[in-house]
Amino acid sequence: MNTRVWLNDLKFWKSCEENRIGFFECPSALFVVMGIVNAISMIGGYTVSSRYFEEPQIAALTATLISAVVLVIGHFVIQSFEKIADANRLKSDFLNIATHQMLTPLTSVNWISEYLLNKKNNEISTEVADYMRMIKQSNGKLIKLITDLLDVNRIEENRIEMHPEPIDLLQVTKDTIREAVPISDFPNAEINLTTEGENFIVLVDPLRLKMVVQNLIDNAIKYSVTKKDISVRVVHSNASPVRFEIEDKGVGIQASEHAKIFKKFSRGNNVKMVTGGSGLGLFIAKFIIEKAGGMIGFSSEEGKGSTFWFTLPSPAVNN
Amino acid sequence: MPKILFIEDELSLQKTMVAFLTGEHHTVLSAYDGEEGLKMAAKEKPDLILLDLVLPKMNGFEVLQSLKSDAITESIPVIVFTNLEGTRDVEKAIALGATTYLVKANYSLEEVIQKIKSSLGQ
Repeated sequence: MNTRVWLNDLKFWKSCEENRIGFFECPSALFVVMGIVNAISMIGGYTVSSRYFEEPQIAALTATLISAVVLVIGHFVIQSFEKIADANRLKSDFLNIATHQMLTPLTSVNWISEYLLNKKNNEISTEVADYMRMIKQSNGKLIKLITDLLDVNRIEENRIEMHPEPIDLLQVTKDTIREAVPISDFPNAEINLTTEGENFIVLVDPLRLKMVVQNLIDNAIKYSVTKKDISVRVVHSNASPVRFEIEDKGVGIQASEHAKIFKKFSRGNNVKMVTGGSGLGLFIAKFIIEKAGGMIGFSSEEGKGSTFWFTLPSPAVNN
Repeated sequence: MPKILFIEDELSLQKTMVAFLTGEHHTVLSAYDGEEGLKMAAKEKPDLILLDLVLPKMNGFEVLQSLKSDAITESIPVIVFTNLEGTRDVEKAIALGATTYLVKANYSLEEVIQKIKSSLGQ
């Protein structure tokens, strides 16, 4: 115990770690590393040069010269590391502040349009209500984009929130279909939901799960051609994890793009000029599902459609 | 009629919430900064407090701390409203005695009302 405390005190990059600064971006760590590299280069320089020069003074001078060159190079290396780290921190800070400042007024617009749409007794005309719905829809897209950007930032800084609890995947799927379709760009899209097995309880952060399901549903609607051929299956057979599957007969994904589909800002070549999207949804989904102990994947053929799936562990107790 | 105090400096959020909750047969009192919120809580003894974390004069954490250390207000349930979705903030608010929290941008007005109702035991 005491040894561990003592070892922890020796951890000279501790304050960097506490401030989420990586080892190679941490000035004190780089300083120590440079010191070690320099000592090695001096000893090495002396050992090697003493083979060639009889005079110990000349050998020592050569070693000093070598170590000076190493120091100068090291200085520039450290400087470039710090520049990258600074730029990265600045980007994160900017993103955090800008997006948080944007969220409050956007929430206002969201709530006000919802309030007006909820008014009973025909207090607003059908035309106004239609435009109100458009305002709410566009505003919702902005909120989603900003929260996605914030999430990516959190993922990269390893500080994303997860509060797992047991939740019924089937119920979440039903709720999301009910809520997501009417406010999507294609409110008449049809989604056919089927189940296999029973007890679809999974252990995951409910809000995050909803984000993932919603994202997969939005994608299927967006890329489906007829908007009437989307099927969702929620499957659970004993002893295996609970599985969610969504299939569309849409544009599909080119084989050459399969490897990067879960990467940040990645969008298929065949869709990026046709439909909007940030290319962040699947990156976030993969992180959330894997963090919850599940798996995510897809199969797709260009021109025929895609099937995206994920699995999540069910809590051990009821199995 | 349950009495709710909403401490929030964004006027448009404040107004919408007042209109919506009044329509749901609740009495809503508004405060625009931390100090005003504390005074109102002690005077009006609401059944529930909705508290924003970023506030002028006194921030939400300070307000929460004062509410929970005053015998008159300590038993009033507090829902913390925030857009600062960080575990540290949420944990800090819960540790200071908040009943629950919600991230404004993630919730529709309808969901906020549900959360309010369940906090009021309705």
